[in-house]
Amino acid sequence: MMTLASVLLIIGIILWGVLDYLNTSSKEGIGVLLVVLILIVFGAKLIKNKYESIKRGEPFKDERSRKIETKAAAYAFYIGIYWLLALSIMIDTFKLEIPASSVPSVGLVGMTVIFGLSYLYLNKKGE
Amino acid sequence: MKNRIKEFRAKYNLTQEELAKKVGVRRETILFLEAGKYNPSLNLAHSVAKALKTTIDELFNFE
Repeated sequence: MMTLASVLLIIGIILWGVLDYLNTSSKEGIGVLLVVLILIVFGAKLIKNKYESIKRGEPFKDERSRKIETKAAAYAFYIGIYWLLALSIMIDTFKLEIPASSVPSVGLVGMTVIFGLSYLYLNKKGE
Repeated sequence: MKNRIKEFRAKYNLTQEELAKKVGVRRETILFLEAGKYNPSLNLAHSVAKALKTTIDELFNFE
């Protein structure tokens, strides 16, 4: 119960920080907030699953979960490279107003999302 | 890869969770093993065979 409260507190602090930093009335702010929320939801689900399996006395990681993490990380890397390439092409072609200093961050967030989705897909589908 | 894990597990009245604890893996791993959706390492195959008191050849069908 205390651990859950701590996790909720951390999530609350992160959300408060993001809301404070962003101007949520702008489209960019809402977009970023949405991505952050997706990442938080994914992270919370992952933590919850791990917590429940530890309560059942299962190991934190086993060979299958390690294999899935490695594969998901590989997908995130390979697809992430093409994501960064596509991002730079989109910025040039559609004249997107993303500051040059933000491009690596956007790229990294994309890789994180790809990792999350790959992990969920591989976890469901199996090998 | 097809296997007879469920058959042997039923023979010894073990749940997936109990077998997972014996072998030292998560319950999901046993679930995916039984469904043929995960190919175990040699180490894991040996551990599962040992826990079910049989051999790897008896348990797994490599064809």
